[in-house]
Amino acid sequence: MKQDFDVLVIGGGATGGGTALDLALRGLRVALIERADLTDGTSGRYHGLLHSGGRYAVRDPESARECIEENRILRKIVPHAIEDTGGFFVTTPDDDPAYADTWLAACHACGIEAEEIPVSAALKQEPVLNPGMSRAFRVPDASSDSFDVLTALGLAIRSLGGEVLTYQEVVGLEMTGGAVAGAVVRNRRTGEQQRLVAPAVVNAAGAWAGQIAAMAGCPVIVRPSKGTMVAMAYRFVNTIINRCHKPGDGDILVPVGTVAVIGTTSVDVADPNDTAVQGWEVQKMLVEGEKMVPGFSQVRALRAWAGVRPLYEESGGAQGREAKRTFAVLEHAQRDGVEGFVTVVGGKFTTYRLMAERAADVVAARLGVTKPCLTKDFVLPDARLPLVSPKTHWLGYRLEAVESAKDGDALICECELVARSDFEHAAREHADVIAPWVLDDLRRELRLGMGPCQGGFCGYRAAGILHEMGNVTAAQATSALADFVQRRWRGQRPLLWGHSLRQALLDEHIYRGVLGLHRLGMTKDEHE
Amino acid sequence: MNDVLVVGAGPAGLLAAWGARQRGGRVRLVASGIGTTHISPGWIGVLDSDGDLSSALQGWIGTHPRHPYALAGLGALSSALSALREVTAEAGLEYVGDLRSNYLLPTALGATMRAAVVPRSFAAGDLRDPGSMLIAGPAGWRDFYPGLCAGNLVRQGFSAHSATFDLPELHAGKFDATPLTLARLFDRTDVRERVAAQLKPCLEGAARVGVPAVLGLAPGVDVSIDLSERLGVPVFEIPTLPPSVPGIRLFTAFKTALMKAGVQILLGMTAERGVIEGRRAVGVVIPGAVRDTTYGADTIVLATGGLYGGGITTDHTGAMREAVFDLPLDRPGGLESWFGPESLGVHAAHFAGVRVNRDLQPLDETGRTVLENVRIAGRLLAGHAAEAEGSTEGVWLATGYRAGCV
Repeated sequence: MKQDFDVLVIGGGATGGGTALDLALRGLRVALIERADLTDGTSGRYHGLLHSGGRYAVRDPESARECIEENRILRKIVPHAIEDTGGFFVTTPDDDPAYADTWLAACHACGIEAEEIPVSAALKQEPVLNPGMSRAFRVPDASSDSFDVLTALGLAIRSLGGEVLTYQEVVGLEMTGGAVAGAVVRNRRTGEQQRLVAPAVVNAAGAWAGQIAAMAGCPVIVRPSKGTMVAMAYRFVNTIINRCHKPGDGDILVPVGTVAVIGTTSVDVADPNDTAVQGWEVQKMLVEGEKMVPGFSQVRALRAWAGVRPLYEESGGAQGREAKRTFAVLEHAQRDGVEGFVTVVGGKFTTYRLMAERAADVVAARLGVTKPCLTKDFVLPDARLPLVSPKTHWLGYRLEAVESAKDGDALICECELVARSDFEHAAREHADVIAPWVLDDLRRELRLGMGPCQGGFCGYRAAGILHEMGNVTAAQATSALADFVQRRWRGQRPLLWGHSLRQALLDEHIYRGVLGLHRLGMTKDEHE
Repeated sequence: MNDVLVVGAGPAGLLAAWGARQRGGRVRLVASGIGTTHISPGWIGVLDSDGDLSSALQGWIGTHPRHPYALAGLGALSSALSALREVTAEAGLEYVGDLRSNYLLPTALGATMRAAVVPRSFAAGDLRDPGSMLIAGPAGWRDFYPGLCAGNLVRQGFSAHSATFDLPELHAGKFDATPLTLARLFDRTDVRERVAAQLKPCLEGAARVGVPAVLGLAPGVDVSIDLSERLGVPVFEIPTLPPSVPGIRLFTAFKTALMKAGVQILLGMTAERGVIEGRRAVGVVIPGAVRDTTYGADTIVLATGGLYGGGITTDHTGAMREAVFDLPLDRPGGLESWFGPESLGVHAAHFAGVRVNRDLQPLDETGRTVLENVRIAGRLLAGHAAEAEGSTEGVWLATGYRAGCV
């Protein structure tokens, strides 16, 4: 039988992207298959925290050790997606002061450089923190951008001859004599199906891994746990803030770009597609936020979203926050008698590379490949070069690039500093520019429409430029605009009060009252 | 003499001040700042309806007895439109059309929009007229896309093609050109000459030319007529992203007329709270650096806007409050019921506002007048979904005028 690839990796999140790159670096021809855009699943729906491991040190030291080791590695291999904000653990008046000693000892036992600093020093660095806090510790947390990480992984995979197939949904696995021998994928836009033949398939579908495994008849029980996050419209902290207590809801605050993100809740859900944000989750974030930063709930809330953690324990067992955050690599040949199939599940964004390494080790051994893992030292490419300065992620680079750009390069998204040339470049690189979701894909790459106006002005500009570039009809550009407006609405809707409500009504006025978008037909939200 | 205090400088407040002054009142207008004129396309939509507009309006108030039109009366709408024509004509800004039928106008996206009364510079864009169109705009400008506009018009069966023209001035500075930058350029004869020279070869038989609504700000010069003469076919404006040049022209016309008529206009003055004695409002309190000042009046017109304008404030607990007098509000239930899943759908929050009687006096839940000498105008009124109904400007004007004249 004709072989299309050596390995198919299912799932375009950090784990799948990392696994595909790891295998490609070992000389294998890989295809990464994702049902939507890269990071559309849990990888793109987190708070942006690159863990130091401090959060897991007391109850889950294995995860904590993985986190601190991977934290150090990722800073080296993908510096352009990481901002070294550093992190604090603070004991607020609502926290048990005795916990801090237990926590500090646990951090040291796990090799995490946690260091107590005077409360006055913490307040000097982050003046909005609760002045009533009793203790403060410095940890090597960082802020990370998963969109940039996945863009880099995709670039690297392609440069090594691999393929990245987005908007291709796996609808079945090819089975030959009890072994997995490929997959049947459906193009989400055209509905066309194709068979991809490969001697090995890696299931890295995260919260959806159980569904993929079931296609091969393998029982894998993933417990989806939904976490809701809220982006507040200002970056009022520059350091990651964790509460020094037993992990709970709304106790992490992460500065990301221009905003500060608080997270999360932990809600067991039956369906991993259930990322609807409930009103009580938003209220909970505001109440908990007040404990870290007094006045928190008065800040303009910009956007809410939820991701689904893929919790997994081979024995079944614990749910929610009681579950360990380590991961598992399941060799289905041994476990279920199904050859050619490996599932990697659990874990978290910070440990994606390690998960990928372990999964790739198993696949490589099965395929008789002896080349070792190279990802620890393989520096990922920066898609933005030479547009912005290299090294580390910092919003200021974007501003510098815009300010030094030649005249005539219009700023089309003022909130996130996206210039017309950035947009045109990204649109030219897009694989399927006539798809209705093209603007949302470009948003992930450029942060278009992610600022305070949530697409009110830039949406029309983006659609107009897309049409001017050719290859896209007026109908397609308009449909892309309608899709974009609807997707932006989804994350605004749970937060419509105060200034955000006024902004949403201004956006409504622009799209309905000035442009008449509603008369040209809206597309349905794919995720509703 | 009747002292009238108007709070709010949007279209409703401007009309109220004009109406009150015409009636001989001593009028003062205070507002936080400029109102919604500056984001408004400039056309006057009264109801999204094709066919006979008068009977559509009659039918509408019959089926919507609590709608602002039903309360203020359609007579107020007609009188308001007359006042609008009068004030704008004085500024050399002609508004055309009436309540018999709607214009069908192209938007910057190439969709269609209905409006009863429009600036004369919009009129040649009427899509009920089959004449083919050239849609044109400055090349590389971020706020108007002639190709997308024409493309969408064509797929709806209208005859249109597109072209761009070069305006080197747009790219000369470090800052992006706003509609205002362009309007100031079009005030210049040499710019108009250059644009016309570039567009003439692109006409290809077009019976008219549509351009973004940036054709000048200077009073007294009708740039669209000048361009029409240069091109030999009518030129019309198409509203685009805010700030709105036609809206600014409208504001300027009213400001000039009001000041000339002796109305005192105070911007940058936020009415923070009202002073009430029994069932009368004595005045509004405006905080200042040294002390708070109370502005009193016999009659107070509240035209502070709705949820967008700031006349109604909200917070994360789901509280919804009228900003000045804390008047009772018709409001939807909890926060989660305010908006539905469809972005451009009709939402419960749209209908929030102050309930009033036919004199536009605020009412409580039982239908009793709360403050006898307060009138409510514009988007602050309950019971209408302005954007969805296509009644935004009509409600502003009708209730503003009515509030000023009661």
